[in-house]
Amino acid sequence: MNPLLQNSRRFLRQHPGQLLLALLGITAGVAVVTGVALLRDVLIHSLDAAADALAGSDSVRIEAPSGRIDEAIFADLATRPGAPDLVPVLRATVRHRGERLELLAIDPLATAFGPMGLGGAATAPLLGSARGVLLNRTTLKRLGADPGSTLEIRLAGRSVELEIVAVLEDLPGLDQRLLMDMANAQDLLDRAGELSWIEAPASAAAWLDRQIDAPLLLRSAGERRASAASLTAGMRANLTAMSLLAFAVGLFVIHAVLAFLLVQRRRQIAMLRAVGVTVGQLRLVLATETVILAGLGGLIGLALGTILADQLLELVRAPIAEVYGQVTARGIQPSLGLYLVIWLIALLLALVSVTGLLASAGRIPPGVLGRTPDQSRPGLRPYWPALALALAGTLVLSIGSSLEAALVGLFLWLCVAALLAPGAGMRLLSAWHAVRRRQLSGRAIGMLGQARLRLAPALAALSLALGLSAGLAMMVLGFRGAVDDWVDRLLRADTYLTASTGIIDEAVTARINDWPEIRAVSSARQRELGDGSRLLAFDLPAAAWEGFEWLAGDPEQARVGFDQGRGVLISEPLARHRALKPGDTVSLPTPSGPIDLDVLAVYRDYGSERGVLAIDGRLYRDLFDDPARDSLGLYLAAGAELEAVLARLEELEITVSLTSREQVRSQTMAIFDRTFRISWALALLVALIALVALVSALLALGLERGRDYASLRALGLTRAGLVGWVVTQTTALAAVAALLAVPISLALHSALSLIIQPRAFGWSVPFSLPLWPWLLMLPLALLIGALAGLYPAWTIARRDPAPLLRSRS
Amino acid sequence: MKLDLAVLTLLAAALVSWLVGQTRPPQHAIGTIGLATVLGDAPEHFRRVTGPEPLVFPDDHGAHPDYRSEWWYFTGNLDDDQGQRMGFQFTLFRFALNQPQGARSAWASEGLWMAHLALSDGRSQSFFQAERFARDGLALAGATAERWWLRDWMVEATEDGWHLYADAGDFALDLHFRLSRALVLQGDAGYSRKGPEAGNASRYYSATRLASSGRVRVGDAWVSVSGLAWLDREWGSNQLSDTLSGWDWFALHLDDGRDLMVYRLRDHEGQASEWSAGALVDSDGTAQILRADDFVTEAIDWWRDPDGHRWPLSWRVQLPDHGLDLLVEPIFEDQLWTRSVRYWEGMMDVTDPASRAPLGRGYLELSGYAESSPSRH
Repeated sequence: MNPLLQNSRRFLRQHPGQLLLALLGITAGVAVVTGVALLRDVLIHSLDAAADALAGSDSVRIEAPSGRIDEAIFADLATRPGAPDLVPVLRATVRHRGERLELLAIDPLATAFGPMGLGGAATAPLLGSARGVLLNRTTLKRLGADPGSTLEIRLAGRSVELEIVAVLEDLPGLDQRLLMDMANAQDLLDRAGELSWIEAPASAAAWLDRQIDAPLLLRSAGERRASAASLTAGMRANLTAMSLLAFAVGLFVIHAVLAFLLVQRRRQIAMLRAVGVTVGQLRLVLATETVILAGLGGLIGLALGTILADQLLELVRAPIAEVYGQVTARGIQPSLGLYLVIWLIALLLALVSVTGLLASAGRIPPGVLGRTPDQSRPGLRPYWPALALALAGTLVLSIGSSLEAALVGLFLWLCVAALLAPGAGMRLLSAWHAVRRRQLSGRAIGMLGQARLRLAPALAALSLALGLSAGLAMMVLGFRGAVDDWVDRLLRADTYLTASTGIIDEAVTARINDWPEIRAVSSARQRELGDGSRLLAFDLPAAAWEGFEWLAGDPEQARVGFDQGRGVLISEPLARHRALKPGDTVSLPTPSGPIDLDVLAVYRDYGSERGVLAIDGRLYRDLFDDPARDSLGLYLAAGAELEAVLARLEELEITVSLTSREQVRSQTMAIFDRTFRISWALALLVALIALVALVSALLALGLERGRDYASLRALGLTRAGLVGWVVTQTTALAAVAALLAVPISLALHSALSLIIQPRAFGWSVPFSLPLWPWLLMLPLALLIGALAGLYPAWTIARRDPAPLLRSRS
Repeated sequence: MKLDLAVLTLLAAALVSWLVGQTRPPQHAIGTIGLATVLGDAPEHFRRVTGPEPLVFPDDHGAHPDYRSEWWYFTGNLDDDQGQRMGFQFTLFRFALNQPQGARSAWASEGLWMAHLALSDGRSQSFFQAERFARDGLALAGATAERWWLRDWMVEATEDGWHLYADAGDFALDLHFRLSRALVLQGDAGYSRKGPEAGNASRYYSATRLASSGRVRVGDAWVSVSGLAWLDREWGSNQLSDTLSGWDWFALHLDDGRDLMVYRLRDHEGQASEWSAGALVDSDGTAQILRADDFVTEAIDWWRDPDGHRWPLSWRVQLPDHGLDLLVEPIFEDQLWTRSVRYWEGMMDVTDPASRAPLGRGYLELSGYAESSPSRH
């Protein structure tokens, strides 16, 4: 064995470029998978990590349906005999330089880490400074602040300077969170007497269960995690699908590189066979090479993926905060188990991907010192497997209605595309060759046709990567247009009013309604229902009704029923998740127990994946005894000026701010754009890995066809001419891949918009066909193809043709 | 080949160790509080104890928020109905906070309260301890003339003493204390000097002999107990001078009916300070105040805690003028507080050094031994 392995080693040392490419392929694939896997963990676990930091792991939480708990309830519970350690929490969202942070007001004396956990001496300053906050070191570093410095934040429309009184040495659950003492926070937020929820250690569940009465609820850590997980399920599924695709393309690379190495060593292998090395020994050596390459590449990939996960987390942090109202941890938390699973799978799949090569190595006859041309073994026709996969994909898509089924179906169809792409690509190349047969470029392209098997993986990978990027771009653009239309339609009021305290009371609402400058006022009050869906209470003037796009139900009847408090309007995602349609009834949890309401109509909504249940404001106030509003929509009277309204606002006792329709719209679109940044990043990574595949395939081709190239040189083709020859080939390949990517991207766009989106998020997207991804993809592919050809061209052109020509075949 | 293999192995090992390092969750170090930081320099606005002032009862049983720190300190030796020894401690500490003035929130507080509850089980030689914190905002903790509490841990005044109820989950105390002797005003009518500077003093009084009865629970089983307890009440703003590093405090119930309290304040060299003091209470309740040169305390045996700190647990206490020569030894060694504040507080036996005849029981408190680095021998 040893001489064989030494042979491999010598060969790889002589060709460090190939070694690097092989490592790069597997590394990149594993890195993307690792990065996304770690990110998924963060999305599930860190949303609730603050609770762990405050009250220990698996803490339970006391909540009220109204989202607010009277602090007197806390005082009563905390002083009852046998009371566990209860942590009061008041939550508010603040912004620092546009970034969303969570302000958690707590009683530092009640937390699991206790006053001593704050570093002992930090407790007194935290309580003693009216604007004092505490944060962990990671957050401090991220915000670029220093202990003792001030932090300017935006809080419900006003600027406040907070003082960093101390730094926690590391409680990762408190990433992106500012801790403040309850007394100071209640004053700052103007929310005296109010708590958002109460945390308690896991061991207190039974005691609390006996002590608390409706409407208070006890929610376990498991329940909270499940709802956090379901909140981001769609996003995570999409990320996973993308990462697996990146991995698949990475496998193409390792296959291409090992195939290339095999080609280069045909002569050696033939000689080894001639001196008695068996096929089994040869295969073992090749398998060992694969294991070493994949093992090492996998390890580097795990390390890079860990670093990548942090970058990906940066990309999802803002959307998670904006769309789901959740703050994610700063750091990812890898586990050995996860690393091991990814590494072993990478190793296994790398071995599987080279089984064909192992077989072909065995077929090299002893003593044949030259190459056997590709076309001598045309390989299996891919049509039957493609047909089988297509049927399976269609079957999976049609029988299940789950997101997972849709993703599996889509994956099977992408496999079909990968199988068919090389054949289709070769046909295109033949056609091209036929047209330009007499020109040099035509001959260069014709030469590609003889290397079908060598080029197939690269062509498939590149077509898929381009198709994926373009398809994704088309979906995002189409979806963006749909969201823009939706926001535009939804925003009917002239301006929107919010208060610095977060809520607007009934008296203020009534006063504003009486102003002569105001024609009508709409209002909204929102609260979370247990399963992540939201209840919205609307007071809607006639003009606001234009904002709904109805998907089911009779609009006029719905309006009458809604005004009379007879039923609810539900958003499309809610209708889909709960399989509801007009005429069905829906149960609404209220402080006095659940009540059944009729579903009046279904409307289009992109605001919440989990869905919205809208009821009339008057009905809400009756049921929940909560007269507050979160925001008001102001409809100006004819001829009234906004300046007059602004002047009027000065009369109010509370601090309020106005947001114009255009501002709301641009904020919404900005959030939308941030949400898809991660998809772009992953698509880019897939495309980069595909490029590595392309370069390695071309290198293989260049070496395999060394004698042909040498002949061309001998016939008078200059080095520059040979470079042009090879670059023409790569450009042609990229162009063909781009052409193949057109139908792939169209299919992907349709699948994402019409099947995946509704299943992942619950909403449908009207189909549209934005063309510019295609227009951009074609020139970009040509450019990439030309660039990718430079290195192989250089390698091929600098080779001395004479020895190659002297070789026997 | 070997070199390649070595390089490859090294690279793989480096990567694996980096990856393993990534999987370790970051550790959060829990800080500890130094009592000296709380009892040392106090901001100017706190009142200082600078001379004797008449104490008024029951008002002075309640909190004194003008002073920076204060405590209510019960210790006692008990026997259960099978004659097994038990010791207990319940302490309520108040540390003044400087919450901003004019706060509207009901959470705004004047004081940070800490409660320590401990039970020493002589039979199993186990030491149970529980610690709690709360603020006085929302009345989560506080002390009036009639009631001292931190959440549901509570001491209520009764006709002839107090009733303590505190449940820490795995153990609980439910004890009645009957005041069988007049309150002892320590130092000069309750003015207890502890250092050379004005203000290095506390207001200090004791209920030295409280007839105790009631029940305690370890695990699920309540047992009836009875015995003697001691209450110390103390408040001040700047009581410890910077030159002190800790103290050794003895509260002993002698079988002849006398009660003895001595404390030895130690400087940074471990020498007794001239401000050490005590009181000897006769069986008729008459108290004699002891100065530093009235008594001698000598450590004769040490115990090393798991962190390597040495604690002097066995002592010889002598009051030559009163003919007292006492050997004070712990019932068992590990009665060490390991929560936010590290100190040793445990039940003791008092015997005659020569004959080993029992002379009484008591409590010993040792502070300031864990702040130094652990000794090596």
